[in-house]
Amino acid sequence: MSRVIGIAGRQGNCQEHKNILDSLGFKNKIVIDGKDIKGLTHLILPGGESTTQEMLWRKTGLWQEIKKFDNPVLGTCAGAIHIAKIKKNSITCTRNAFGNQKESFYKEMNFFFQDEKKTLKAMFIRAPKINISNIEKVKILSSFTLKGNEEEHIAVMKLGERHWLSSCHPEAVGDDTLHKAFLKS
Amino acid sequence: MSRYELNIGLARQLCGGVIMDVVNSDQAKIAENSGACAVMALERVPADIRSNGGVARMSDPKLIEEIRESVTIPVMAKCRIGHIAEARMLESIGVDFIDESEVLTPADEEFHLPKHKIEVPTVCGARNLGEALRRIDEGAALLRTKGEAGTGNVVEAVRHMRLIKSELKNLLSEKNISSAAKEHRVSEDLIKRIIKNNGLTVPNFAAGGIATPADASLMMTLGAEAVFVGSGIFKSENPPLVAKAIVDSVNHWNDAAKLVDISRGLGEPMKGLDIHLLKQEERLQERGV
Repeated sequence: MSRVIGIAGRQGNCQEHKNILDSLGFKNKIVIDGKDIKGLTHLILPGGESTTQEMLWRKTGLWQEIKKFDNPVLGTCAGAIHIAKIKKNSITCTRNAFGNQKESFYKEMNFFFQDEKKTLKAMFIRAPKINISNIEKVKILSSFTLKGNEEEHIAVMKLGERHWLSSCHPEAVGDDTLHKAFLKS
Repeated sequence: MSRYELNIGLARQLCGGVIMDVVNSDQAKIAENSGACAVMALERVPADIRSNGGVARMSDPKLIEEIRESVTIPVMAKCRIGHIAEARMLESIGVDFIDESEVLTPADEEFHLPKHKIEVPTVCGARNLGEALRRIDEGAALLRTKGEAGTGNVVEAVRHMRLIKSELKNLLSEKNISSAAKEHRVSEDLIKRIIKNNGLTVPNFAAGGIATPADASLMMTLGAEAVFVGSGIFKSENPPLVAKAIVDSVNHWNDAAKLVDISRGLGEPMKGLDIHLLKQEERLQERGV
């Protein structure tokens, strides 16, 4: 089946996701209205301001369609916050959990997918923290620790078969590892 | 990965959004509830800075901190051009963005901030490609048009956006790197990076005189990636209504039918000023070239 990926717009770093999808040769479009979601095989919820995005998506009907969407969804940063809100029985997200912009950071991490180990490079920008309340359906693909602290934090995870959450931005450094894995699903 | 690249990363998260000037925490909450993707904390909006006269400086830290406490979206604050001490204070407060702004009275008529040495991201205004490139070379993570702040008149922002776009187009086909670098007084390395990137290396937003949803849509049409609104919201008759409408107009900038719905019955916009009636020394855009 040919893939058509929607990027929920317009507020956020839609263009960086678009650049990755264009470079991989996947058909994609930025979607604004609820009706634009028809025919999409995949959906990406980009980073941005989650309060702004939700407000706009509710007005355009996109939010209601995102909740109903039954194909794979990837949320990065603010996008992960939205997925956590929709799947609140299994996961929650704490906004700006690692501090303000001065505390934003870059990481290179292991990325495990389909028995392969790869490197994922990504920015964490005013990043949220993903907390798991129901471990059953969760698969952690990439994690990290911070200097001087052993606590393991989630960078990328899958919830069930369809929901992908990333607290970081590989698209911001042009890394397509996560997007390639997501588009195999 | 440098701090600078992370800062450009934050700038890109603001794309497709509206950044609103606010002078207290009540206004900040109105801005956040209307869908602003960030607020600019300041003591007076540009229209009042213009009418009050005197020296305009960085806001009281107390005001900035109160505003920061009242919202969860990023908070920006302004310092005077070249005022390293004010910039360091804003950095210490931990604002999310510093606007080195011509709206305040410049502190240094020769040098801008050494922005690569400041950890917090900085945004600067530009009227033409030379100004834009110099600010990037100094370490700005984000650009905006200067426009003519506090006038409610979009004509200068339009002029600046068009000029930057057309001069950039010429630069991208430029063969003589060293003469372009000399002309714009920037490093050859920057010229090479811009050409390789086929565009500016940081986002460019619109600012200065945007007062209505139609103005915001116009600036997006001309290639702005987001919009700053200063006096346009809280100098209008119905700030919450106008704030929401401008947020919606950026989201639907290329949909005229939606813009009609968005613009219907908003009440009086801010009054506005004719640019031609301003004396040369009253034009804020002449500051910081």
